[in-house]
Amino acid sequence: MSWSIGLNLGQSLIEIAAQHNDTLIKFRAFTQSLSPENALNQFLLTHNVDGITKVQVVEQWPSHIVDAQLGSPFAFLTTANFEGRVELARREDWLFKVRNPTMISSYITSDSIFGLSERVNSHGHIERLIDLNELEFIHTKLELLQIKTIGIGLINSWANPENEDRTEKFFLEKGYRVFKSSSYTSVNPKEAAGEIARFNRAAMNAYCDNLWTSKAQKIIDILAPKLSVDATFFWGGRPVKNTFVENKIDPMDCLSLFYDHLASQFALTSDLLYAGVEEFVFIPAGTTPKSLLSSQAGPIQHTHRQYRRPKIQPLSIIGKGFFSDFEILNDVVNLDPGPMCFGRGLTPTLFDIAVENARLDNLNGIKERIQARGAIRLDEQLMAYARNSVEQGHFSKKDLKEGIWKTAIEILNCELTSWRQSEQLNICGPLAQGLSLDLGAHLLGDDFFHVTSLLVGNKNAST
Amino acid sequence: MRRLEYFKLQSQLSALLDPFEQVSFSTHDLQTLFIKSLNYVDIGTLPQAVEVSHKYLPLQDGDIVMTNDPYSGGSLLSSPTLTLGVGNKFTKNTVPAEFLIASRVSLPPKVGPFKTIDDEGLRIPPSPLYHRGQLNGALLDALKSHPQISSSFIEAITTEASRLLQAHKKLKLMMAKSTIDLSKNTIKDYLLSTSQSLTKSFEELGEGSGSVEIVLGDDEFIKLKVDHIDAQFHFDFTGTSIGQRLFMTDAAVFGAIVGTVLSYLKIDSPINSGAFSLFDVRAPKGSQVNSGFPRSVFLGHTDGMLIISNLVSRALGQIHKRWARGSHGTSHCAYELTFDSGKTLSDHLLTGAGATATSQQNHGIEIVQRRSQSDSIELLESEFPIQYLSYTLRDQSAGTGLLSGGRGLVKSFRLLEPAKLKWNYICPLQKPEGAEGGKAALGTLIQLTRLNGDIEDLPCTGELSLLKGDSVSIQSAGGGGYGAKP
Repeated sequence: MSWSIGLNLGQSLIEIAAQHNDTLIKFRAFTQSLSPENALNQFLLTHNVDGITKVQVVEQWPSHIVDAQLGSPFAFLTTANFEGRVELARREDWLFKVRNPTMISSYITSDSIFGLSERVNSHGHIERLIDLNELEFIHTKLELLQIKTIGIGLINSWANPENEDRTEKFFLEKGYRVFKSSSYTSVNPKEAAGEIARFNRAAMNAYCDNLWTSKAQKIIDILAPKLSVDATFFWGGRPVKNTFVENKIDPMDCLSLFYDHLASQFALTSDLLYAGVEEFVFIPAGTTPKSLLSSQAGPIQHTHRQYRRPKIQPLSIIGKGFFSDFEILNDVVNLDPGPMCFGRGLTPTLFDIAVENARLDNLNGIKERIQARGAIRLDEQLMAYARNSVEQGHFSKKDLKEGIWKTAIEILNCELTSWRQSEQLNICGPLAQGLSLDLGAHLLGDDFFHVTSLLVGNKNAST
Repeated sequence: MRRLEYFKLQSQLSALLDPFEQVSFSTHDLQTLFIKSLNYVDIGTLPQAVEVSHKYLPLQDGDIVMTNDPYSGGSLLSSPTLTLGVGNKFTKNTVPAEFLIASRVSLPPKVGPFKTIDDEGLRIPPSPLYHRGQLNGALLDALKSHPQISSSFIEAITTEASRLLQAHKKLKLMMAKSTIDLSKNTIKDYLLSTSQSLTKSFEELGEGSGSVEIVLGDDEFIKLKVDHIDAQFHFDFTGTSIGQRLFMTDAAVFGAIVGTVLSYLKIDSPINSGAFSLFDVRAPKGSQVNSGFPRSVFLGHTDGMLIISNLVSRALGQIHKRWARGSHGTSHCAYELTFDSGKTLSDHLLTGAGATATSQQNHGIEIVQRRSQSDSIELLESEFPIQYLSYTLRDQSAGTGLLSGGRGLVKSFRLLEPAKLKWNYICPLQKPEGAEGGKAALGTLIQLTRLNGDIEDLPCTGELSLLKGDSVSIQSAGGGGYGAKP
């Protein structure tokens, strides 16, 4: 009667692989209209799941919360006269661009950044101790601002965390959630110094905490009554029981869970392209972990396996670029409302082109969403682009759709060639079957292989 | 759907050259197909480096030529440029390069009030580093033994050379599999399509003329007249002085002009010979915008690029309001601290960007350099005998207006050991101006506070011996505002 569950919590997607004796059940649902916990609950009820002995969860929520700026207001406490650093260390999305940068909205307003009169020097000597009166004053202000989550980043806390520890203690006793940067220093002192990535980690933990903890806790609470007494429950590589706070798991601990899982399973000796519904990700073979992760919020201290996102993404918008009216642009759509083929989207995407080129046949949880009116609207939109095109040529719908797909594949191939480390390129994920021939990649498993691999004893699903 | 092919070519070159930060891709007959740059200097000088290298040492497949000479297409002496030849066809027992990839590495420069280029360091003319994939050990040994060449310079060129050779392999693989179309016809049409698309974009921004001048000091001024007529830009620097401190090569100035004009577009434009064909620049030889050996170009190829960009923006703003932009902060505040222990800290500070009708408050991310300041205080304090007192946005440094400019930065520190301070920045008489009624921003300021409490505003350039306990505050300029507040 035992069950093993593998769960992939995507940005707008939930994928479940469940093993019950010799039966393997796969389930995929989009979570715009149905929340992840409701989708999970439905699955458990439908299949009478009980007596779960193992759960393994991977997820992409923290990076989504950061990228889409969905987090909650928080306060950041730093050394006085260094407050501007928090605003300065923003994402560099304009790097290498020709046009001028536009203002990037910060994750925090300057009135939520507080400078503390403290100082630790580079040898770890405390030149000025934290003043509790100052903390009391800040607490008063935070009560007015109704902020209950704090990030702390004090200069040289890697060398001596005492001032951060005192500050953390003060605010914990007042009932705040606190994330201090000295918790994230690595063992190597040279790697430890370098405050931007550490501060960003504390800040992003504070930013994501509310939303991430409530979403993730709901998943645990749905599964908890179904667990057997001796069940093992892993969130990424970390065991979890009851609450995340108890288990000391922070949002930033889970920043790259999904990609680390893919890397450890499928990219040890060969490069891997994960071809998901929401994104394509390239993982080079056998690379050593990196300690800094680039994010929209700037560099974040986080040990992870290397991965890269190609320019070509499944939800890339097709539209007017510099040369052509049918370029694959850098912008992407969300799954709500999704690509045009789902019936509600208004913008053509590469996903739509893939469907029209028969690259997405019969996918569990996806084929049911594809609607005929989506294809009609796509044709109308592409023909409208063609009529207004500077080329003024006659393009058939077939030419357009084939031409755009071919261009996308050739650019993607070029990107992968530039990044490749190994002879063989493996490919897995929901869209892998449609891409494997085009890219000359070795297909790993079916469209659920990346999820079924979470189950014990199911790492070698056949192609 | 020919235009989709050009988009594809642009994307494929971008993918192939993804590992590089400052790179150009050209044909053997010097048509530039692609440039990726970290600063405006690269745009004009990378193609020149390719041209000069290929002219004097005709590259074959697998050859790499190296130079750092600004008068051979370099930018600063601390930034070597390596040009690689890629070819496939045997001709008389050689494989001449059909394509040339130039990559540049930027290392921290020497800072100081230099009189000539030779005061800045060792000039290396185009020299053969690799021949058909084989390292020229003699050149490398000669460089290693030269007192003005650091170990980090050697490491940088060997690392960059090996990245170029990897790109060489990948390009040849793509060419062998015909996954990239680099035929003559496609290249010709791609460049023509670029200039046609740009012409159309610029038509929307209006035609006309503008005339500006900036005074940098006694007998030092730059004059610029800009005409935008019949889809062509004409930039005329006639009347510009010979210069006293600020000197630039014509290639660098060209890069600043092209980079500034292209930055006005709403869509990222490719930078290639097609784009270049829309620009005509007259820079009188011997003037400070077309300097020759032995002028020192450190200041010109750093702060000078901001000056030129601001001049171009002001002139364009006279043609049409849509071009109007507050001036960017005018200096990188470059400085260098050499401690008694022998360690040298080389640093600079970014400025605020000028506001436009649609963009404001870009603090400390300077347009020309295209990089936010993200150095670590902790690492600097652990490596050097220095303690930072502040590193934050400079209060009230931005020009106000309907839209405010970006604020400059403040970096102040106290010395824990004696050191020699050298600094060099440009201080024009005008502060970073506002546009369309916007207010000017604060200019650059470097302030010294001695241990006894004496405070001194330092001039634009100089050298000073500092004692333990002395403090320095570097305050970069803000960006000018846009529009008059009602």
